[in-house]
Amino acid sequence: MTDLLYSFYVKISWLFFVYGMLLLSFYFLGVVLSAMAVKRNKRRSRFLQVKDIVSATDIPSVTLVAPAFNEGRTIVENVKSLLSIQYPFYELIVVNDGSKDNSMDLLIEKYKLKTIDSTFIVQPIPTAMVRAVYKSTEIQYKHLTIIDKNNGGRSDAINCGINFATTELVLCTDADCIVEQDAILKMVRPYLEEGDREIIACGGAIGVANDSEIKSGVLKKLKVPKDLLPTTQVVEYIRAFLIGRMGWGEVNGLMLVSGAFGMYPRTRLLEVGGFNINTVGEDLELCIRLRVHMEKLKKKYKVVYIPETLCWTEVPHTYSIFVKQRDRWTRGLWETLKLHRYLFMNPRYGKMGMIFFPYWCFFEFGAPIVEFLGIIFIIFFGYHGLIDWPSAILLFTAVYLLGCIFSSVAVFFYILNFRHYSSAREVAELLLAAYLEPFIFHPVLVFGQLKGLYKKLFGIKSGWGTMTRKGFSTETSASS
Amino acid sequence: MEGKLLLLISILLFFLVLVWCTIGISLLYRKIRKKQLDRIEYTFANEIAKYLYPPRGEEYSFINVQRALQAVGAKPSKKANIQYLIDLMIRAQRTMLGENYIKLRLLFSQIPPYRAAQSKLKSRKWYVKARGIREIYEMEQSQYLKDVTRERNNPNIYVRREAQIAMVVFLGWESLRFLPYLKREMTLWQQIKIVEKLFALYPDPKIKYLKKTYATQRPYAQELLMRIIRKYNLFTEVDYIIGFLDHESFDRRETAIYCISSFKLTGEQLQEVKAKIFNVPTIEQQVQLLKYIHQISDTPDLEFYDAILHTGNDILELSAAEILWTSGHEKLVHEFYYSQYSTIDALKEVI
Amino acid sequence: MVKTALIIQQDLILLQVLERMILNHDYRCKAIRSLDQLDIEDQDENFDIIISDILFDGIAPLDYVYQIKEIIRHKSLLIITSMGQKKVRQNILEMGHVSGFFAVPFNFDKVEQMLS
Repeated sequence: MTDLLYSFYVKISWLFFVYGMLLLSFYFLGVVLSAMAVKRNKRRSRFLQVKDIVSATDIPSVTLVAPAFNEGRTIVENVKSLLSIQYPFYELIVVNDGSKDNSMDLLIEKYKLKTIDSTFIVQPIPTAMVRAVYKSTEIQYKHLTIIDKNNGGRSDAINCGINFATTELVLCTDADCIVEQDAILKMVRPYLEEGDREIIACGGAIGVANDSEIKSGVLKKLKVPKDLLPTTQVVEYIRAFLIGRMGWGEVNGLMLVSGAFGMYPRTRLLEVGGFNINTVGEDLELCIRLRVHMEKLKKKYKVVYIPETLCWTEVPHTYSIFVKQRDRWTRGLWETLKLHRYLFMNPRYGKMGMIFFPYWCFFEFGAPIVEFLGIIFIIFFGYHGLIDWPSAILLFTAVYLLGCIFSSVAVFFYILNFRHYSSAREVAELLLAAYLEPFIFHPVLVFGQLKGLYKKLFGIKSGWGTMTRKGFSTETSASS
Repeated sequence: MEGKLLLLISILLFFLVLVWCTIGISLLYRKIRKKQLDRIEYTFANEIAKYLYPPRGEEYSFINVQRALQAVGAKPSKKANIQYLIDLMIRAQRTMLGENYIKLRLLFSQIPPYRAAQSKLKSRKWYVKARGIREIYEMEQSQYLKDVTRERNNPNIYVRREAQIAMVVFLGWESLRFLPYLKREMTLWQQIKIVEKLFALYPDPKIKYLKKTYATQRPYAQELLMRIIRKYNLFTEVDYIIGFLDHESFDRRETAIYCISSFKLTGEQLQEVKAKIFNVPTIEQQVQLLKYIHQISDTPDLEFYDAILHTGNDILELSAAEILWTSGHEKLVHEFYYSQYSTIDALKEVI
Repeated sequence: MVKTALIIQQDLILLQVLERMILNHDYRCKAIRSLDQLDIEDQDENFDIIISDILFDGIAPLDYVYQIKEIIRHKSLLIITSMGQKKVRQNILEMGHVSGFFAVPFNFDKVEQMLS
């Protein structure tokens, strides 16, 4: 019996080892690829600077679509901040998704809104009913449109904004995100520069702005968050965007452009019918559907990422909210992978079918499951005395150090290329959070992911869940 | 086993410490470098200002500028600083026109670096070469035109883009003899930049060069020509754009719709556009054209809108109905929608 | 009575050159790179001329032009900006209280003409 158990133990150990090594190889490859991508991006940006774009005439027009739901506390200031984005051909559409608070009244009062004749509303993508469309009577807000509609969820609200947009490109974000002033100027760069491949989606890195100084809706001073949980998420975001997404972008393997900040050609969005309102992983699902659409059209395409942080958000500051968020992300992932399961190892879809989609299945979706099984494995075989504890602890230390190196390299890449977190103290805080991550943050993260899987597995209904935010402490400038 | 793992841990620890040291050094370097660059920028701006508008009663010559810049480290022995200085020179030159521009050009030809761009042209690195070409045309060193022209089909997109822009800067309208026949395609930014440079430096159109290139079949060239027509507002050449409104390529149609939107058309041209709208295969583009037609028409062509209402596409129908509604033809819209339902009961059901 | 000018330009080169040009026309000049550098005393001053960009953090270009009229007293307002597209120019001039609009690159002589 013990021999049988031992041989089982060895076999399972090998499986875990191979999985771990494969994951490590992907990470290592990601570091190399992203280093190349960031370096090239930096060199290229010298030939197409923000200053060149801001003065150009034939550049594509852009609409920023921001859905808002019950954001009365901050809506006026947030809209003001979004209005101030610097781009010559810029429109802003804020979609009030059936808020139950006083958001609309505040907007009407502050921006002197008047309804426009909407007898004939052309809605290529069906959405919940539009109650009214507003434009400002003040000349300085002429690029602002507010749509008041019945509640239909975030995706539905964005779809509504896409319907009303008249520009070539649409940038989707959230009303409570802080978008960098020159974000659009940087986001259109790939659209201007790409030759034979059409850019179907472009994402920008998202940063964590908890406890930072915000003035008039503009990030004045970025600070490392005070608490460990958001600080760890700073490192997590840096790692995900700078290493993960830039690396995948280098081989045109990006399957996800973050819903909080993504730009798309409007025509392509209309062709695929906009965001899917039946999933909570709508950003991933849209990106995959756009890719599939282009594959079917047999057109060359590209999904790209801008390494610079162009959008700032507030991440969960308590463990319960954090668990809810990761639970939702996992459910979204499940739904999307299930919906597009025909892609799995399907050579008709090229690299997407053979490499990128399977990677998501095995490593993005599979990682928490493997981790969970790993814990059961340790408990079970530890109980039966089959684990060589001194070696296991040493192995754990080695893996832990590898993780530390990986996070440190990500932080190094970040401070090497961007201006944020430039003091030694800030860097030390980030590194410390990264080194504590496996003991505090990661177990909670896995718990959240498993919770999401459990809900899907047993058909427990759950929506977006409420994401309570502390809210940015903002100062209002003298001019406002 | 344990020995090997300990060795691995030691290696990983060593590597981690190495990353820490690199982070520390780069933080320090960045701080120092930023200060240095700020100093150069401030001095450059100050000296340029004094050179262009010397304080009353003071003479300000090239040598003052040169000395001040050298004092802050912008000297030939420090290549990175010199490169930064060149970037500042280009930046300054690109903000000014008229007398100040001429004065600056004179100043930059008198102070170092001399012939920095020429050596860059020979570099194997694309970003150095492309930068060299940019410096050549920004500093108007036309003596290198031959070397630059050679790069117009370079496999690297940035090198050939800069070379093509340089050709426009030096040759003006005559560059249209080459541009529509390049081997590789042009990105949108290349087209934008070429049109802008042409317009900024050669504001008087030479239509004969334009007409000669109409025969080109290269997609990028057709788009470029449409953009030139738009930028120069060449009303006589609008027919060239109209020809692409129902082109089979999505991108060509997109550019044509964009470019035509800044023109008012003759009655005949308007009729042609109206006829073409039915051949456009993308609904979104049809809607755009419909809005354009409405915008430039004095009175709505009821027959045309009636035809649109009967295309069978909801989006087009709604767009046409909206136009008719807002131009005071509500009755027509009512009639159309009533006619959709055979009986009053069917209509009531919908309502 | 010495004339007064306020220059707000983020680009240091442009700022310095404009400042020198203004000083040569015997103006007392305050040159700043961002709106944060405005003082409370600036609101008491009635500037003869303000030469400003329109691209500032936290405020839309059109809103800025509107707000500056309300916040800082002045006799004339000149806009010098790199975002000088036809559409932007039209929108800004439509607001009515802008004396001149220059898109970079521009001819300084024309600005000088307006000063004198």
